Amino acid sequence: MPHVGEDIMIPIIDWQDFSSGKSPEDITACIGGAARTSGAFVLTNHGIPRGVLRDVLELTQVFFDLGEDSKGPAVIDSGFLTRGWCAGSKTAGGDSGESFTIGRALGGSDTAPASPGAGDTGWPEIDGFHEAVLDMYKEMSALSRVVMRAFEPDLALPNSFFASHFTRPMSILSLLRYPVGQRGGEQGAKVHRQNGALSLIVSEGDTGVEVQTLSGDWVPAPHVPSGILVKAGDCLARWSNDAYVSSPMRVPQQNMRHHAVVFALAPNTDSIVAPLPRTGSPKYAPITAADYLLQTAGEFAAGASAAE
Amino acid sequence: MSDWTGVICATNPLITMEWDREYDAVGLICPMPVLKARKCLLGMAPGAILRLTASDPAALIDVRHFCAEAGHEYLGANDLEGGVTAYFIRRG
Repeated sequence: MPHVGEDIMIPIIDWQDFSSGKSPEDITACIGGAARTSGAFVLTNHGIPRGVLRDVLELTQVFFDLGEDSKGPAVIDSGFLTRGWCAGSKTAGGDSGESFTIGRALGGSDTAPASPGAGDTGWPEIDGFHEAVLDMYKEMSALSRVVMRAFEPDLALPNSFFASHFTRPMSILSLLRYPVGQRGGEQGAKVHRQNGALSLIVSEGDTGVEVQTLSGDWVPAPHVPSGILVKAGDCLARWSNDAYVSSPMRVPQQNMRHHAVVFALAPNTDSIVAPLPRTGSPKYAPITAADYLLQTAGEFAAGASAAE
Repeated sequence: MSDWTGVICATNPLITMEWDREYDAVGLICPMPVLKARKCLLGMAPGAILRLTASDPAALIDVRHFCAEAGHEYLGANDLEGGVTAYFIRRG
């Protein structure tokens, strides 16, 4: 049984109960409840092999331990357009760690500028890195779609409603190294929200993530070995007409090396993100996902080209 | 794999695997591919191998959960052209 209780703001959910068809209604109720309060939950038995998680986390550390010349050209963080290695990046949240990001090439769209991609020049020469990171992208992409499917009944949507919004998604996978510091000092990741549809976060140990609930309290995400923390993002909150919460999150700084892998599920560039039917009077005008997600990214990108 | 600039598909031992029956679930949205696989497997002998092709990326998660629940053995997956993946399942 899923953990359902008023006192558990970030529930731990056994995904086998959904995917096996054993009790999908319970799981939908549980993640729907979490999405309305903390906007976060933790998945166990999610179906992603432990080896996949272990490999990518080990290789994340190997990558960030490389010399700067071996990490590929440093790029500017530009949100969903980021590809490759960002050193001391200033993300939307103002983080100052390092990251390595991959995503699909976004060519062929008027609204999404062509991105360099983590292609021939962007991949570091580490045995197995390329395959492990791509495998992780595929696994996280698959899992995030299954989770979106589970939200459909909670939002009174027909089955497969979300599938069409993620056929050529702008999703990205980022490997992160948080800055080391005194616990309680500067934030490893400052307060920020996720602007995609869903974010899936894994770490070698405790993710260290804290989520601000509707009541204003900061709640640490429970740590479950091989668990995956799922956070509702701004796109999903917008679709739900703010029935769901894209809650602020932060990662307090730790005094030891700390890595995470974050997958951000984002819709197709031309996907319309608008409050869904039966969610009440719309609080937002319809907008394409590209316009919505690339607004801030565009500002970063403009800054980058001006600096060249 | 055209979505990935400069990516070379890794060789996968499943490319040469033989199978007893196949089901084409390309174009079907999850959980349909798994429901179709369930039906196929019911008509197969224990130990026989089903090759299920699907285009919904979510099948990667669903097929594993289905196998664990139904007592079949998930042998692995193999990426084909055009965003299609072949899943190999041994009937339990």
